[in-house]
Amino acid sequence: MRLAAADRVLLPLAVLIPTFPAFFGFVSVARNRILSGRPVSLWVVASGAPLWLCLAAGVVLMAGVLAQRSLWAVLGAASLMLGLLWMAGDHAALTAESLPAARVSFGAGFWLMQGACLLCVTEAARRMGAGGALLAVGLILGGIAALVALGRLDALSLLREYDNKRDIIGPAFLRHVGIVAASLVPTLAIGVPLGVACHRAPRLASSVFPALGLVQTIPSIALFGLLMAPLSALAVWFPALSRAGISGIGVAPAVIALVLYSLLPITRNTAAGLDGVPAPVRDAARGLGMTPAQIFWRVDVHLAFPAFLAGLRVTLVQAVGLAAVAALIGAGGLGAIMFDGLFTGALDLVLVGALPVIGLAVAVDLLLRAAVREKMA
Amino acid sequence: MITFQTVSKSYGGTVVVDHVDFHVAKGAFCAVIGASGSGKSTILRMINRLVEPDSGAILFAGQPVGAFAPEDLRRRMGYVIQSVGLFPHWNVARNIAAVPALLGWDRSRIDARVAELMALLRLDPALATKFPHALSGGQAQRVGVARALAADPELLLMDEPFGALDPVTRAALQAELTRIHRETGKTIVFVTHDMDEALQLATQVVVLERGRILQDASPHALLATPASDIVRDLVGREDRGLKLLSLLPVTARMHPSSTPLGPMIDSTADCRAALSQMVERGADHLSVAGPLGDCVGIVHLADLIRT
Repeated sequence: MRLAAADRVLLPLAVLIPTFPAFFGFVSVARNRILSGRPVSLWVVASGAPLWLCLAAGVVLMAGVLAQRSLWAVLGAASLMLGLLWMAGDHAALTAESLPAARVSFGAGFWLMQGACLLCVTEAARRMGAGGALLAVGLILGGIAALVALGRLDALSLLREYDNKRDIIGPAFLRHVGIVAASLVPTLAIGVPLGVACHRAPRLASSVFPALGLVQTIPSIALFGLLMAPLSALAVWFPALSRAGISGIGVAPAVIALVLYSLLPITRNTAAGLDGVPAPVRDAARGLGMTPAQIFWRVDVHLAFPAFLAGLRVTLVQAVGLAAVAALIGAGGLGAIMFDGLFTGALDLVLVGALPVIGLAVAVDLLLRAAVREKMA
Repeated sequence: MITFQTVSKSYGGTVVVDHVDFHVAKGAFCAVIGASGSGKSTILRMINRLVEPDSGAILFAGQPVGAFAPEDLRRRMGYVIQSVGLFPHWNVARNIAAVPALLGWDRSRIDARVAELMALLRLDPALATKFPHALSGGQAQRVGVARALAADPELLLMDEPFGALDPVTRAALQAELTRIHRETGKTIVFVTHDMDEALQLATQVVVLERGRILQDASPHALLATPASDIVRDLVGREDRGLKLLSLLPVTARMHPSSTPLGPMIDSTADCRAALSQMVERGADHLSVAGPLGDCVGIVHLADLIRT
């Protein structure tokens, strides 16, 4: 039997999934929050309803791969992801009955199996077209939401860390979004006019872009550090600034650093979008009697917009990630929760901070990608 | 309508338009022809002030073009270019309505004008809501011409408008342009490097070489009495006689008669087609068929070679 090209991706992945638990622990169980955990094998954990769900999902996935039915593969792989999650949750609940202080976290085997399943889902969904992606996202998010709502995951360390931080995670999320939004305003106010200027004066572009590119090469922590000294000095010289909340640490240096990082994609894409307006279109616009302002607002702005949106996408995704690092200089946000977890050795707390950051970045990315496609069509 | 008075233009020391004088009368179809680099496009672009001359004067409707605001001047002149340059983010109807919208026409007047122009250019009304990327090359240039005619300009400027089209589409649009010129009586300045196109379409041909005018004459005069060997070469040394014949409708040389004699030829054909058919059929005379298919006259070989 000759393997179709399709199988060369899905088949090895599907075969790989059950091999991980042979080498890696499925969950890690610690006697309490401070001690480090010991790996527990899938064979110990597997039992009950989630086991049957996993087995059924595995059969559907394998059948989908062999019969080249992408829908089956999506359903099987997504159900397997949920089944594994449920299994970990059930094991945590079981452990808590005998050891209330014990912490059950996801192990390497869990992550590797979930990763391989996710690759199967994305590949099979891609083959199904736009509907496939929607189905996959809906299935996975809906399933996780159902498991959480039914309380099946409550005993997991991740959920218990979340429960401890329940009151601060909402404000931290808003603070995170706030920092990104606050950096966006000056970025657009400076970057868009600068991009227009770079388009009109290529000599300006040849000095602006290398300078902005240089900023991008500075590691974010170093840039935050570099800004602390001058901002503290400013706050000392001009007490009005410090009364307005501007100082070497906190939100002010974070926003300034994010603006500096964001300027390159916004400026470069604005200029590139304008550079990409076809010369005959501009010639026709002039020849028909449009004024320079009319050419800019009625033609240039519209034709440059998709490239600008692409730049905005890069900027926002980058800013969501960098804002997490800004917690190091006291800017708060989801990064503060992540670093709290890192410094206390509570890796599940890191996840509590990181998952919303990842979700936010992915959501922004998908939203703006869709907007760009809309504009291009 | 348009008068060039000793107009010159150079770019960085290279003279592209050199002391050019010519006049385009109202209602004329003037073809400006030359090789690339002959200055023909520059001449066209000086008329609507996309390029300013270094010296000399260009008059439009009796006034120097410099006396008009560039935008006002351009809105009174249609402008068509080889690469069409439709606005990709606007549909066909909005592209055609570009200049009327700039002039602030009201909605109903614009809609009526767009429909009228789509009919004039024989564009399917269903195309009105299509975007430029969905159009064929020929359709796009029809929209380009409709857009140029939208505000009923006094003058139509065309810069190699059919240069990028395949021969069949080009021939169809050439016929369309001849019809539009006949129906609207617009003055047209048409830049091309294709002598056959110039001879076929224009009532006046301005031949350029390296920024200078070699000859400014009617197609017939250009063929019959070329001003120099260069012009003689340009219009075609060997087949000049055939091209002269192609300028004449067959009805101009026939003798009226209602009795058919020999093979039939349509009365809309030109004398060159008549000669070709005589050679093909081995006949020295043809019957000319009128619009109803009846015989309206007889043309002999001797009639064609008479000068």
